[in-house]
Amino acid sequence: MLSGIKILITEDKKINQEILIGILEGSGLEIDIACNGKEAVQRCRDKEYSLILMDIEMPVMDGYEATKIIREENLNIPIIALTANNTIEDRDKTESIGMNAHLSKPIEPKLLYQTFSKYINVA
Amino acid sequence: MNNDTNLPYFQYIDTTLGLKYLNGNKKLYLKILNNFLERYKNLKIDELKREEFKDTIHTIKGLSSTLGMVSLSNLAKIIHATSSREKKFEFSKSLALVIDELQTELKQEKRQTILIVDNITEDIDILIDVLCDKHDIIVALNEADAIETLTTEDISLIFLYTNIVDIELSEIYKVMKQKSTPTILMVDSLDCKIMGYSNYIKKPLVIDTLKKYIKTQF
Repeated sequence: MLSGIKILITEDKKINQEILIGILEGSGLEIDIACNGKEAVQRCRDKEYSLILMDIEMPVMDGYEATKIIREENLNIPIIALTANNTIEDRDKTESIGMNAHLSKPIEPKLLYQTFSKYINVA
Repeated sequence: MNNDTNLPYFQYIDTTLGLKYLNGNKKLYLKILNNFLERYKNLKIDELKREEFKDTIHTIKGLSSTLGMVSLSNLAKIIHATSSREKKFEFSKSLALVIDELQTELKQEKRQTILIVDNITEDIDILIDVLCDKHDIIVALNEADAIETLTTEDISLIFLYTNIVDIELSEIYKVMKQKSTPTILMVDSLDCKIMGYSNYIKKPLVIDTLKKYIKTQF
């Protein structure tokens, strides 16, 4: 169902990138990686993605700042926070900044796939 | 998903929890545990500057909870939430326990690969019988195959029958030297060609003698 769909994972830690890629192995998704918010903004300008998974705490540009810029340029792209920060304040902030959902680490693969199904428009 | 690999027993890591978060993929789980070990085995919490400390705690908080390191993850959460270093000692102790355990258990998981270079079927069978429980075995029946294996595989030890090659002149000798791969020569007679080699065994191979000899090598 997800075969050929392009998503962007924005995550600065290589070990977390490996976990996500491993979990999504066999899903058929086409996955690009951005190592910080600034890279994510640029990648979204260069390529069309169906969904962005966005870490929050990153060097150079954090997930909030990147979301603000991406949202200004693309109102509709689903941006999902995937972060170890999980307080009510954190959740409120991701919502107010324009993210569609807040997933906290550790993420259950089942929930990740459910979130994809909810936000990715499969033609 | 790969479930062919067995997981070691861990006291400080809830592998059922970790596997759940890694989609039941044992191979991926072991790979990430190894990465965690490499990343944090030399970590000195006390020497981190404020921002480095904050970033490290934040990363370990997410990672340890994904990997089933429950106590470590709880301590990281407390430190992250309170922005204090009060729990630092407890955290360091918990991390050290996890690292110690990973070092012990994951080391046991790693199987060394042994290359047997021989063309006598009976002797190859004896070596495989003695070695296969604890090691992966590759057999090369001639020098060309042996050189190819040595250049493409990560070989920990070679058993080399000197009758196949002229040990001093052959290409395999150069490759062995270049890669510094420990080698045990198998010889028909103790002639001058093995001078300078401390590791050799005499053919015909005898299982009991071989077992005793191998015990001293690992």
